[in-house]
Amino acid sequence: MHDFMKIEINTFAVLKEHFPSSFELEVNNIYTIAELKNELCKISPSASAMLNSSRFAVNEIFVNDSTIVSEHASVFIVPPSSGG
Amino acid sequence: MRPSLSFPHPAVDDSKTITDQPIDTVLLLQQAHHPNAGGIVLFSGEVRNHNGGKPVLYLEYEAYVPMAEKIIQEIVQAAIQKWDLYYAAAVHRIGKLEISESAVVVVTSHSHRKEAYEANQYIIDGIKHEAPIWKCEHYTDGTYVWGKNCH
Repeated sequence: MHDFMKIEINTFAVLKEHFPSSFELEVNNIYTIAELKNELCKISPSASAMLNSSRFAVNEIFVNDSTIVSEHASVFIVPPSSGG
Repeated sequence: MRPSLSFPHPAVDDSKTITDQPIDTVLLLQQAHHPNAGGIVLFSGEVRNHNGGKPVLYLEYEAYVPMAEKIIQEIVQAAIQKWDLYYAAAVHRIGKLEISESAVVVVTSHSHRKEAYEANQYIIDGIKHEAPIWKCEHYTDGTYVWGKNCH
């Protein structure tokens, strides 16, 4: 077992002002969406409010805070919609 | 009851709900014609030249494409079931859009206008609230802002 793993983070819209649109993050082996959210808030505190009102998706399925992120997962952070 | 009548429909891929090309509203309208339909409603959400008192130069739309496509398809299918529509389709454009261009078009076809209107509104409201699509307003003074919520 590895102690660390890499996951891919994808961001959209206003979140791209805080993070690259796609980047890799090295994280602990057992890692939940809630922990990922906390980590991203630490990296960019000014993005906290937007991160907390965003939905997270893995493999085109929305997931919740307790979902465990697996190695090489592609996580999409989806801010509130503003289309139309 | 929905009698089955053959009717020549233009060939449009109904599943293509996100596009980076201008939306062909005329083709969408043609597609909605049906001999049993007494009312077709076509809504076009367009780029207006102002928002919140600021002059808008152009808009930019971004989508989480595979998920936005899936969600729009689900909303359209739900409306077809709920109102027993003859036809319904919705397309949202992404990329850079100029003033007066269509950002989103929804078309619904029913025996009567009331249901066609209701179903159309249900679809556009659903798209605005649920589909992961974002608008960025670029103003004439060179500033821009990402839409933070749907209207």
